[in-house]
Amino acid sequence: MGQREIEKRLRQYAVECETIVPVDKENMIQELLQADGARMISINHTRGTLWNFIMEQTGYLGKYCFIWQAAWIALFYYMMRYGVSYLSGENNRNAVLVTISLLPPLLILLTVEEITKVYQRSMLEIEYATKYSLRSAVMIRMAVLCVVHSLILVICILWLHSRIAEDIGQLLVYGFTPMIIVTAVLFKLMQYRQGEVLLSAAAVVYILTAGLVGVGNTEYFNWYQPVYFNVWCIVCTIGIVFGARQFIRLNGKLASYEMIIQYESD
Amino acid sequence: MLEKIIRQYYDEIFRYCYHHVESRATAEDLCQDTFLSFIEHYDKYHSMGKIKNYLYTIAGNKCRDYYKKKKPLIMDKIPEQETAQCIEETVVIREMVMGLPEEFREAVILRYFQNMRYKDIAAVLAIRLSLAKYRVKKGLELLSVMEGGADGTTGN
Repeated sequence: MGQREIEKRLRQYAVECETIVPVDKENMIQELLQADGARMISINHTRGTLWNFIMEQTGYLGKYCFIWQAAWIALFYYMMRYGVSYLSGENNRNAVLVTISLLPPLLILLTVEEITKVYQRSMLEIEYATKYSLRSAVMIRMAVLCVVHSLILVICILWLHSRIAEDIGQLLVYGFTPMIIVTAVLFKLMQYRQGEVLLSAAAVVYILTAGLVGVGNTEYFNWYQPVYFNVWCIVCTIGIVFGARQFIRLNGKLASYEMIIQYESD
Repeated sequence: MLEKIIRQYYDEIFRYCYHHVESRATAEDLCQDTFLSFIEHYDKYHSMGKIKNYLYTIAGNKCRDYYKKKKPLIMDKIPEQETAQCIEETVVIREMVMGLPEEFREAVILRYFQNMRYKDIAAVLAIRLSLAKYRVKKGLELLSVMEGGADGTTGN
């Protein structure tokens, strides 16, 4: 008999076994719940501080997330130290500004996988297994990532400011605006899409943003001229407002566990 | 929440135990022990992994402990069948799986009886994905050879 036939028979047997259930299941479950009740009374539950909770949730973030962040910092350093001047020659002001606009959204894209875990069953199971709510865990994680990304970008911009004669305010606005827009759109997408689809959608958003930055850098538009700086500030403000709104909506949506339960990550 | 978990996975874990011991009463005891252990430790469970896999790991350990204490098997009533040939086939396939070396049997049970993905099998058995795939494949090969021996023909 071939392996395919064996496989078929194994699966057939598994299907037949579906009918086998414990005889006194309900009583057994009640026994278990009673045992849990007795245990809960016997132990003294302590709720950790908010700081402990934040540190705990930071610990849940995958190690790849931190590896990507380190890789991004290395890429930023390399591009600003060698890459930009190599690609654009001596007159490289615009090239530096374009690079500082293009790299930060990439940081979001690299760590978006951590955010896509929001809708996985394992996340829901943390809700089951710990004393915290799913929503608070997810929100803390995203907030941690946002703060870490912002800190990384600010530090990188400060370092860059020490190397080039460009206004720190302009560097911050050119750096943060595309990142804020990508993040805001990501918050929006997270309300409707999950898993791989969300990851792909985030990649598309990044490509579109990069395309927009590229178009803006052409001689026809030249958006990086100081005359357009106010427009950048307005776009940045709109992005922040839109992002905050989407973040609040997402928070509300996470309250609905039904959607998460229905979503089967595997 | 705990009740939801227990209700969701109780039958599945019971069948998993049943595939190991093949006696309904023993499987019920092992399943109950599994959930008691889970209840005892679930608030210390901080892994990002699935709770389902965690339950399977506990159940697997319970079954192994059972093997150590007492060699199975008292064959229980087999699932309902339509024909005598089916009954024979079911008994044969079950005996063949039980005859596999432990690591391959475990992988085959998880893959085919519990319908788990390789990734989850690897997580439950705490082995690498490639090794999980190898064990399932090897288990199938061994079953094929065993079947060939029983039929007097060579397996594929």
